[in-house]
Parts: sequence; structure tokens; C-alpha cells
Amino acid sequence: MLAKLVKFVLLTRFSKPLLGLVTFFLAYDVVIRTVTTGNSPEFSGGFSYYAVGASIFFIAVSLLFGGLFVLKSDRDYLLTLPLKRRELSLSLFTAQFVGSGITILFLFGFYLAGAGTLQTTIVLGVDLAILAAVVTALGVVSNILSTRVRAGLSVVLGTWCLSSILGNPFTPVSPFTGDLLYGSITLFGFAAVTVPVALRELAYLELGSMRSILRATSSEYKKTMSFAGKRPVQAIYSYHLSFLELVGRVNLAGSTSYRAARVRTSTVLIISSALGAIYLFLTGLSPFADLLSRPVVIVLPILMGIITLVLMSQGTFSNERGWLAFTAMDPAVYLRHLLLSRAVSTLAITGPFAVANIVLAFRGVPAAVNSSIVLLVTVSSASILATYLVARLGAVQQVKEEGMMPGQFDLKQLLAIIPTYIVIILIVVSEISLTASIIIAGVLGILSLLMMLIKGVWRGIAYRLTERGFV
Amino acid sequence: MASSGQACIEVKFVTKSYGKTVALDDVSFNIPCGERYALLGPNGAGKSTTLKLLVGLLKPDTGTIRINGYEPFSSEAKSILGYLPEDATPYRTLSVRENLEYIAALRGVGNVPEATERFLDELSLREYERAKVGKLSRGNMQKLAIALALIHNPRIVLLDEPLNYLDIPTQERVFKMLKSLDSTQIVSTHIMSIATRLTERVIMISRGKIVWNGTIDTLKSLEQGEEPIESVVARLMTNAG
Repeated sequence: MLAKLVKFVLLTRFSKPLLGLVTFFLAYDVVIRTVTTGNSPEFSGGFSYYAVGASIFFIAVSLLFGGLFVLKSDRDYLLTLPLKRRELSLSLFTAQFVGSGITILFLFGFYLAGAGTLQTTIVLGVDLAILAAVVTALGVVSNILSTRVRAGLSVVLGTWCLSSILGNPFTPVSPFTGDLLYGSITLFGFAAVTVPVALRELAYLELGSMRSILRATSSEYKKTMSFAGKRPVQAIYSYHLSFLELVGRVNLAGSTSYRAARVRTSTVLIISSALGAIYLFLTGLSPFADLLSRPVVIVLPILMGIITLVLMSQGTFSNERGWLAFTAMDPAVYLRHLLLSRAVSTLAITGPFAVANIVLAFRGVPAAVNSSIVLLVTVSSASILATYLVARLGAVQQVKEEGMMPGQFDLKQLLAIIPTYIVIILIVVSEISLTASIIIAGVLGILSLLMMLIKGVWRGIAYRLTERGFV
Repeated sequence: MASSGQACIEVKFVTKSYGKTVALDDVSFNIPCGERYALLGPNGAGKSTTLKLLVGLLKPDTGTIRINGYEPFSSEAKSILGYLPEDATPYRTLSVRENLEYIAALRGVGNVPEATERFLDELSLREYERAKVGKLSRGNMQKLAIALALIHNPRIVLLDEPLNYLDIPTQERVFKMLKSLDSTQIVSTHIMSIATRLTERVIMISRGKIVWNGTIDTLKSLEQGEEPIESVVARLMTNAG
């Protein structure tokens, strides 16, 4: 029965081509790692920073944006069936793991190549699977935690992981920075706490997480916007410059959460300014400045790029309502201003860090100049292009009900991640050479500007979205 | 500008496919200004596609559509069309009032506060004006959707199952509101009582083709003995299929 249930749960959430591709890459990964085992020790330098940075990112994102791979039909049918709770919970956890945890295996897989011996390869392989399970579990558990607790836990766990760089062997990421024994024990202990809690939550989903999704936020806004007296285009800018919207499949780090929320742009600006100041202190003024400035200045634009790309490419259309906007004005004009206003509003996140980088550049950190160009121009331009591409591929889903998947996750949606990686490559190239960063920023800026000017492109997107069920 | 008696909606030889599935097949009909039509048909007949084509959200593969003489996607047509899709959801991150004001502003409504206040009162949305739309009940969301479709006082109104999710008192209020509008209306519905109360004429679609076009009275005259009007409609659809 368990096998049947797992199969049913997987196939109702993921298309067969998608599952096929995931299986292929996973098998390919294992083969490649096995063949290359022992060729190159990868526990130091950039690889350590990568392991720690990426782990913090995965853990924080899972906690902050964690969601459930649950369909509306689950609520109405699956969860009402007389199924054994243990089997239901394992099936749903498997789906969560395939949907989110597996990303870890792809992105960390190369660590196995540096394991050295067969025994350490096996231990590291198991560690990877456990880390993926932990991230998956945190994504589930986050649904029953308040925003403050989630944010607090992210900071605590992030700091814990970060301490591995300073030599602490007892962290969940220590196996990937060279402390295989103590790190593995710590990771296992961490998993022993988080995974059972997640399994329990999934077993009683209708009583726990789903109820908490419904009561998670209050139902009234304290501060509202007014559009009275505004012209049509002014109304669009007023809306999107006042608030940053987080709508759609929040698939940062493989986590999946279908949400519709908004945060005041001014609040975001205050928070990112504070973080920008801390960033400036740590990388330019603190005693650790020499140690931190190079890796952090390089990694920051990548993280910012991913956040902005996801915000734009997934969020722009997920909350869009064609029956209202596209029937009120020319979709080309509407979408042009919508994209521009959203791209500008994301500067509330990246802008303070760009300013901090300019200060760092004056203090003699050369990579900071490139980083500023990336944050101010490259990321914004790329996000407009990525938004177009994702919509053109039909890889975006309209969110009509929060907390639940609007439909099956298919191959197209996975392929839509590719532009993100292209942009990451472009950002990395920009970090290496100032000339490259100027050229890349210029080309992407001009391309996005040209694309915005062609009305036919956006009218085509509007028709395509409607044909794909957007209303 | 078309006047009463002239065709406000002209559909000529329109075909629309989604991939290999033909949704509408060589469909033609005219709707004179001021007339109220019900669009009837079984599930998947092409009713919603028809409305989306009329409102310019979709483009026909072949054939032409004119709204008051204009292309459906032109700004002239958009300014006189009001559209409510089935299971409509407004902007989830905006409040009820913000939705009303935002759409009124997008549509260039002259007095946004006045239009907003009117619909908040007429559809009993006042107590939810600051509420997040994502947290509204389905019935209140439908009331808001109706208000959004009508906020610019459109001369042509296209409604897809407008009374879904509404309680009976609200249904009566919406009936009155729609009857009082001086507009051309097409109402897509499965419920004959809605069609007979809101409209005078019927266009029946089945498998993407028009199978019957006439008045409600003519439709009633086809009743055999004690046969209800629903059975007549079912018979016509079945015979056509």
C-alpha cells in the first residue's frame, strides 16, 4: 500500500518527464562521483565557502519560505481517506524530498569527488542525503511557525553553520568543510530532531500545517493604498513601488510555497539598508574584513541575483489577473509598466548593497565595483528578460489559492530555472573582469529595454497566459 | 457608436483551437445593442472561449469579431466592455477597496472614490473594505469580482456564471443590479432560471458550434407536455451532438 501511495502522491504532484529527468540526473551524478572519487580534494578554500554559504541559504530559505507540496484535491479527498497516518506522512515527505531536498543533492554532489576513499565517499553521500532531508523537514516545519520564530531560527542556524568557517567542527555543514566525523554526528543529531517533527506534521496535515496556513496572517490591512486621482500608468507604479509582492511558487533553493503576500517597499529598504551597513562593516571595517571581503563580495551578487530573479520571474505573473488588467488597457502597455515598476522596486533589496559596494570600492576592494554594476544593472535587466522567458515557456502558474500547488509541477517549470543559471554564470564572469561586467550589463540593459519597447512581444505573452488558463 | 437595433457584437466565421482541440468551429452571430442573451451549452462547449474572444483576451484563429465596430483588443472596445470570468479572483494581495480603486484607476474612471463607495454599499462589501482579498470567503470574492466587472459602467457586459457562490439575498440584489443596467449583456450559465430571469434570448453552443439561437419564449414553446425548460435545452444539445 505504501508503494502505491508514494507513486500516487508523486505522480499527482510531478509530471512523468520531470521525474524521469530528475532520476536521470541523480543516476548520472552518482556515476560521475563514483568514477571521479579521490581525484581532487575539495574541502578547503572556495569549496568550503560554497558549502557553508549554500547550506545557510538552503536552511534559511526553507525556514522562511518553506511550503507544502499539497494540492487542493488533497485537502478535499486524499486527507479525508482512511489511510494509515504513517504511510501518508512518508508519501508526502517523499514528495517534499523530490520537490525540494533533491536540489541539495544536485548542487552539493561534487563534494563526493573530494572525499578521498570509498568509505568517506559513502559517509559523505549519506551526509548529503541527510542534509537534503533536514532542509526538506525544515520546509515542512516552517509552516507551523510564526514569521518571527522562522526568522529567528534562520539567524541562529545560519550563525551555527557559519561558525564552521571559524573552525567549529560541530555544525551540520562541517562534513563538507573537512570535519567528517564530528560533522556527520552533528548532522545526524540535527536530522533526528527535525525529520520526525516534519513527519508528524505531515501525518496530521489537516489538523496542523494546513490550518496554520489559513490562520497565518490577519485578514485586514492596517495601512492601505489609495489610487484615487491617479492616471492608469500612475496607478501601476503607485501599486508596485509601494509594495514588494511575494506571489507564486517561492522556489528559492527548491522550496515550494504558494503564497501571496506583500511587504512595504520602505520596510524592505530599511531592512536591506541595515543589512547593507552590517555587510559594509564586516567586509570593509571589521577585523575579519580581509578574510571576508573577497568571498562575500563575490557571493553576494549571486544570492541577490537569485532572489531578484525569482521575485520577478515567478511573482510577476502569478498574481496577475488578465480579466482585470488586460481588459482595462493594452496588455503591452500594462505589462511594460508592471515589469519596470517591479524591477525598480527590487532595487529596494539590492540598492543598499550596491551603495555599500561603491564604498568598498573606494576603500580598495576592486571586486566591489563589478559587484555594484551587477546589482544595479545586470540583475534588474536579467530579471526582466527572465520574466519574459518564463512566461513565454508557459512555466508560470497563477496562484488562485494560497498554500496549495495550483497544479502539477512539470518539466517546463524545471527548465525555466535554466535562465537563472545563465544569469549566475554571467554574474560570475562579471565578478572576474570589470570590462566583462560593463559589457554584460550594457548588453542585458539594452536587450531588456528593446524587449520592453516591442508591444507585440507582451501582447503575445498576454494571449499565451490566457490560453494556459490565466484569468 | 452603435445604437439600439444595430449589432453591438458581431462574430463572423470565428474558429479557435487550443493545439489540436477545436474550441469554436466557424461560429457566427450578432447581438443587437441593448439585447440580453444567455449563452448556454454543456461543459467544454466553448462558452468561456467565446467570452474570452469577445473581450480580447484571446485571438481567433480565423474569422472576425467587432465590438461596436471595433476590434476587441482596441482601447475603444476595452472602454465599453465589462467582463466577469467564471471563478474570478481579484488581486489577492490587495484589499477590497484597493482592488476597486486600482481597477477604477486603470480604467480611467472619472470619480474613483464615488464609484468605489457605490459598489461597497450596493454589494454589502463595506465591512470588508480593508480585508485582504486572499482571506475573503468565496461569496464575498464573487461580489467583489462583480463590482470590478461593472465599476466603469460598461455598455456591454459579459458574465460567466455570475451568481456562483452567492447567497440568495445577494443573488436577488445582483439580479436587480443587472436588470437595471442599460447595457448589452451576454450571460453564460448552466442554470436555466438565471437565463430566464436575466435574458430574453438564447444562443446555444455545443462542441464549438451554435446549435440553436432564439428567444426564451420560443424555447419554452418547444416544451412537450409537463416537460421543464431544462429538458428542452438538454434535448436540443443532445440532438445536436
